[in-house]
Amino acid sequence: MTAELIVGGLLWVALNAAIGIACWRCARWATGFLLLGATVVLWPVFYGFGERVLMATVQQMATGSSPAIFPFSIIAAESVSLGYLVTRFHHVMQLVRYVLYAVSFVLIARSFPRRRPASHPEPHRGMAGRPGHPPEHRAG
Amino acid sequence: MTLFDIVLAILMLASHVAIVGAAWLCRKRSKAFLFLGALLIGWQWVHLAGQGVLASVVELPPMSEHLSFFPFSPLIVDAGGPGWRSVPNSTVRSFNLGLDLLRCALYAAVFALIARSLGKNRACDSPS
Repeated sequence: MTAELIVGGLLWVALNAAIGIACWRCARWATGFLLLGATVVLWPVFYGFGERVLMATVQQMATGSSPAIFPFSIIAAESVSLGYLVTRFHHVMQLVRYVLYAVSFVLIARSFPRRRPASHPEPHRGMAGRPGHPPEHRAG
Repeated sequence: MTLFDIVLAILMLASHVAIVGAAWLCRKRSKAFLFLGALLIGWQWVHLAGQGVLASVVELPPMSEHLSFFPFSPLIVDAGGPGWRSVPNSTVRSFNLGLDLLRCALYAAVFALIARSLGKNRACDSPS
């Protein structure tokens, strides 16, 4: 089982490196890829760390000692329940992740020009120059 | 439902709409942007479904036939009591790792596709 976890961990690192490299290459066209890649790679790590800290604190509270820091102090004051706090933690983390996704994706979309500016209109060539259509000959 | 829940739901909906809209705007550059948008939004549901399946097979009562079919059957092992079956912690860990590896592989594939498409587009756009 340990060998399986080591292989899995190495594969996880390799895949995340592949994501990072691909995002780095895409960042030449749109810098939003850097934010998107960082969110995709780093957010699960950050989320897992936060979840571990939360669960460790919850277990500490189960033994009777309640920490005096902010979100847990309101449980001690019986303003909210522990389940409420854990649920809100997950919801807020999900929201932050999706906001980061949305911001980076919008940045990417804005990086690609959609229309040509009016001062430089694309010359109308009709069907000329396309396969099966000879180029136009201008009079004079 | 509190005001906090409503604000949370509105912001979540807005972020989803922004992702879908951005993916739709980028689709002319590469169709892979649509896959990326679908992956960003859809993976949460795949993850939830996986966790739900895992939670439902963590401990099965005797004579229960729920999810005792492939691919869930290898997850289930005989546990302590007669007829009781459960999933050991190591299997849960491996399942979560496998799910995360699948996520990383999908993201790597989609980003590689996008990089390739953008590279091709740039090569086509350049005058040389």
